Amino acid sequence: MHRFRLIAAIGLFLVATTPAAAHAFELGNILSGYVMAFDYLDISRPLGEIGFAEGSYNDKPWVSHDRAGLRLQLRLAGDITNDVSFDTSINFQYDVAEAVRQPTSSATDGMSFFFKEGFISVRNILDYFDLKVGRQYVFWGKFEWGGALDIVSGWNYAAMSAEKENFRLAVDAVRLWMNFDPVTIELLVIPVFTPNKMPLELPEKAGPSTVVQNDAALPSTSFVNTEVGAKVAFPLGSDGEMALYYFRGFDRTFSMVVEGKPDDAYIPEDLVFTPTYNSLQVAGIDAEYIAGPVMLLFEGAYFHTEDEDGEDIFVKNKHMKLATGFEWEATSKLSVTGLYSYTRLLQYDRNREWHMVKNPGTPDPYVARTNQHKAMYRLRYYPIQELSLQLMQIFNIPDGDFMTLGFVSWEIVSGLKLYTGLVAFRGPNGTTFGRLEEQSRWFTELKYSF
Amino acid sequence: MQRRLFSIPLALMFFAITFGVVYAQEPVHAEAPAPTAIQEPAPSVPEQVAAPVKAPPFSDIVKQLSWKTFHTNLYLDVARKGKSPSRKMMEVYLRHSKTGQDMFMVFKKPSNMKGMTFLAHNNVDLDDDWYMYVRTIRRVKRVPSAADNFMLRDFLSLYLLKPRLELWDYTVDGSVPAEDGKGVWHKYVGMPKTDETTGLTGYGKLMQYVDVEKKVIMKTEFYDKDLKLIRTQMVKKLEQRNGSWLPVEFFTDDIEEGVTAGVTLFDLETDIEVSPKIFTVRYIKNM
Repeated sequence: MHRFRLIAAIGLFLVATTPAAAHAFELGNILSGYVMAFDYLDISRPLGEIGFAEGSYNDKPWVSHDRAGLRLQLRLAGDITNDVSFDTSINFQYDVAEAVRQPTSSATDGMSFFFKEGFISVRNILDYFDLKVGRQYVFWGKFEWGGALDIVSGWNYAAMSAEKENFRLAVDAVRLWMNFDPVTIELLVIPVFTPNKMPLELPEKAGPSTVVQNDAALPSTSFVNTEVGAKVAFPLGSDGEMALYYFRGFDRTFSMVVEGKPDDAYIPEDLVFTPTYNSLQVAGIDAEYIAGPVMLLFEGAYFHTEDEDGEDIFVKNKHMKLATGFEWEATSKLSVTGLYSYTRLLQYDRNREWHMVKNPGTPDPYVARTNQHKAMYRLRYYPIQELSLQLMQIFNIPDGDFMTLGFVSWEIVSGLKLYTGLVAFRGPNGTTFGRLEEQSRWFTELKYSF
Repeated sequence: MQRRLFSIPLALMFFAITFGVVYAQEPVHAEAPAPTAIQEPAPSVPEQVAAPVKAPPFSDIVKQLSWKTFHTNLYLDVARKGKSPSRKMMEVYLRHSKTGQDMFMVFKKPSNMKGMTFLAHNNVDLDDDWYMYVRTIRRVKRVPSAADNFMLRDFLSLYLLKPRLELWDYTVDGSVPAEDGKGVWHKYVGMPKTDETTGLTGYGKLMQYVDVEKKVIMKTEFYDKDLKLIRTQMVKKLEQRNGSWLPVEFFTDDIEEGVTAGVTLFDLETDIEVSPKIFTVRYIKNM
């Protein structure tokens, strides 16, 4: 099936790019894209050996190619009329590392294509309405990283790198904007759920029990599971704006349901783990205000989950999240972003959850804190036009886990850009970034845009 | 069978890459030559000469630019000194109204910048609003009105906007022979009307060299707040549209940054019907 889709996509592309089609659609004006050679090195073992990572990864090679290959992205974007436009991006990729990962792997295992983004945009319907239909990124909230309301487009945590489109996931959605100047109302409908992509490797044994991992329990694509949202944005004086949000859908991050949990009287032979995506409702608010060269940002949200009384350990508790920060263009060459966020789990008894989760396989399990504090900063420095350096770190303060993303981008000649840097995670076992330690990578991308 | 299945898509991918590159070549345009190493105009120190024609007030220079709407495509060839330039293509709409000047600018090429859009409301009361649609993050961002913002420095001063009389007080400072040897240029010194001018623009003084006959700015020198020369711009080619002389090729030398840029306008139109919706945040949000 996968192979069929790949060949079908290539076939469609070739049909679309025949000379006749090219002439008819003025393809030179609407076709763009890039060719990129990439190499992602797994550096979790050296980070462990130098003491950066908390875990030890001596069972891994010193450095290995997690992903290495070539990607072609083709983007077709243009205007059909003044008010109707389209934008489509498709990735074709050959990953050499994937093709040789297992003894049974074949060359075709390295081939993939991905419909990255593709939508039709219609503006000025009856003067007041704008519509965007198709696969698109939906970034709610004001912060690029770590905000409370960035809940719609998911993340691919295994693909963190320099460019956002590498690790954010577009959703299949219908968005309708109603413009009643100065108030804008946005309605969002997502018929098909798109979860975060998160690596999950469970041990073979948990104490005396054998670990069994089920496929993820995704919400079915039924009408009742259609995700909906609304946003009302309006000005905040002359230098700011504010928006109110509502979303009813599913958490992009799974909760792990474990069945066969042992008790004092009975130790099960199997422990069955099932990643499960639970429904939630979110009500939120954000605001931004410009004060000289500084943009002040705020987000706050309440998450209403299925855990009505706070006693279901397999469902996230209801919680509220506040985030405040700034973006500061310090000079023409340096920009600084800072964020502090606070999350409070409601109706939550950490001690009780610890006792409920504890089992012979995990005698001291990590359970989330009631009060969570997070800090983030990002520095972007452009010493010369062709070169930029970025460093970003996110810290979960009480747990002591953090992530670092740092890279250099260099435009070697016009259109040819080199990115190289690292994404590294560190933290105690079970914490947000501690769980991702094995995803630490040194990445290099050489990208030619045409 | 496996090998064949593998080789077919690989061959198609190779074909697609080649095809994509070929089709994505920029169209050759009669008015837009391919980028070459940017020739910096030879520096010259004009001698002070007596003005043969009485210098008009600077407001006449602005009035000469009589357009109400303005649309153009342009190539921007940016180079660090000694390096070959990189080319960017943009489409620009301008609108002049009683409240000020609005500018909409969208990158068309290169592809990694395609779709990035800039919207500026430059108001007579100096309460400017600037927005940027950053495609890489799919967001519209308000741009703080700081002088150090690269958009302001690199684009708003590229002779596209009419000179903003609400920012500068201009006085005549004599005349010099034109650098092309044809005629005389009046010199106008522009001093900030208030501290807000320097805050918004980053400049402490402007020196404008104006063609006497055409009443058009041919050269501008930009000084920082310490009155140190940091940038020059020079018009290389003019065209007349609807009675106005408009620069269609110009060159800027950012002395401080060591960067030069050549700008070539093509498909230029003035006083055409432009939908006011283009100059709204709503429009760029739905690019």
